[in-house]
Amino acid sequence: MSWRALAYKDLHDASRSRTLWLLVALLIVVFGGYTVGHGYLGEETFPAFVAGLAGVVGVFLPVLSLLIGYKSVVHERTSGSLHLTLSFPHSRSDLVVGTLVGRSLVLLAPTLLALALAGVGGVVLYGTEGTVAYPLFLAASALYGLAFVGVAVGLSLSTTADRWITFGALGGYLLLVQLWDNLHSLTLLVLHRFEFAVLTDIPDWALLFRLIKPSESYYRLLRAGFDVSLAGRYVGDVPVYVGWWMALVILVGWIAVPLAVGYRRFRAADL
Amino acid sequence: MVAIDANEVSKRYGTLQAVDRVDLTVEEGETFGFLGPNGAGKSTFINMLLDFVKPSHGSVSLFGNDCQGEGVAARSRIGVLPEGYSTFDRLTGRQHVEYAIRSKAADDDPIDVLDRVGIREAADRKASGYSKGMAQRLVLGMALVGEPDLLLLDEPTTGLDPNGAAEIREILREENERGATVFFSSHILEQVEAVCDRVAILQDGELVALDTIEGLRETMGGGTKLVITLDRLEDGTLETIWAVEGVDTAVATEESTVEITCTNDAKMDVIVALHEAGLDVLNFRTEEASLEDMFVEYTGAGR
Repeated sequence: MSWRALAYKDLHDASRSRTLWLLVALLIVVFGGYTVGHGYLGEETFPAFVAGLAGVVGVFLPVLSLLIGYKSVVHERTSGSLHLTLSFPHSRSDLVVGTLVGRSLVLLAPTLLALALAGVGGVVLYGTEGTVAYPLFLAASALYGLAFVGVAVGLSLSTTADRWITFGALGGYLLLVQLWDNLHSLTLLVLHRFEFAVLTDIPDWALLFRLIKPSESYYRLLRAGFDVSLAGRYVGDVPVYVGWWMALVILVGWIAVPLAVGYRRFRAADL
Repeated sequence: MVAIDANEVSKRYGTLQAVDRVDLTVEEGETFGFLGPNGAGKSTFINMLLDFVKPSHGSVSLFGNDCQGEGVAARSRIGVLPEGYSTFDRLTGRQHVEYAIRSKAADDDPIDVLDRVGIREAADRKASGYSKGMAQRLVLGMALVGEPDLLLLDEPTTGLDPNGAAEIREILREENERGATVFFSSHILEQVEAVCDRVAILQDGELVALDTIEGLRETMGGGTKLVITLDRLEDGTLETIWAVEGVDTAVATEESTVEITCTNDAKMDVIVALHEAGLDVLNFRTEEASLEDMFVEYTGAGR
């Protein structure tokens, strides 16, 4: 249970950061703003509201996750407080688990609170139909946020070069949130000798490629509970391997794989 | 039982041999001083005990637990003041000690711990605002949590004024009386001389001496230092002294004062030799060679 002491310390330390509280305030403003603004933007039903809110979460939450996690270990390591942390009887894997848990709580407590408040606002403004699935939305959003915490902490474990950490976090965001679709299209075009028809009628395997993008998996999970227009390409006449369970596997993979890679490097390193 | 056991342990960074085949055993209950000039490899050695650094060759263990293979067990009975640490950014002194208590599953009272190291009044201030000396006291306090069987302290008196350093030495003495083994590194000799049963001297990563303080003194030409004031100093005077059997070193410190280290038996021979050379001895006194002299002798510092 050694990781608990580490998670507790990390949670206390990180939750006193002023920058973080600024982000939390921003989060509440953004989600609250969308809740009110949805009435002007889209269909005034609860599921449509959730779909719209999910779009905001999809772009905004990764920023928060990455900011919370990307310096978690490397900052301790370069400042020297890691020497103090690990002079106690904790293993390096305890540190990884403790940091992951600590930062996850730092992310999830305010995020879920803000989303719950937005949900209440949504019910008031757009009606109760479809609200039973709102816990699923919260759970999927949490998992989506955690995927980026996994990426960020894994990155933080992997090197001590500040420059690479910053590039990694920025690059990770651009690739996983903004540019994945372009990468996906480009790959298809290259493989099909630039026949543009392939983009409108994509092969089955390419659906899975597309689903690897965390927000696609997130929307795919939401689609399992809400009758919304999100992730439409993964329902209907499609292979079984793009089902909601695959989205779950992929998001868990985004937590576990970067952490495992980062941990492998961290375990062998001299601090 | 053996508290620290280093078995031909080495660490190489590229072409730099930071620690070179160090063989060292510290018995339970000892107060052990780990000496060496800055950059001699003391911290690298301690960092291998803490598994911050993996040895290139050889092995180290604490209470029979291999520091690399069984790191958590090895660290479970120790209190540490590591090198180059920084305190946690946003936690108070009290929260630091609480972290130590939780990590060791101990039941100390944080305020008692802070009181013992003399920073009780700063308990609820953020440690990032502490002075270097206060931070040093805080981390020593964290090391004392849970009555560890071994205290492993890397330059514990850095950043402290002489009074603070004396307080720390007093705490180390108390801990040793309680039954704890104390192992600390320093490049300041008088601190080690004052409290240690045994010392090791590390130079360029190699162990150049490992003995009790008395033992070192004996090795060092009987440990007598002679300070002689003459009426004048001539060109051949130092050569005259060096020619006396049993003299290790002779240095002119002031205009007509010479410091000599030699065996006890050689003392009179030196005086006689000077007299025969036609020099008048105005004054002379003997001192016990300090560890400083030995340290200089061993490490070649100042030569």
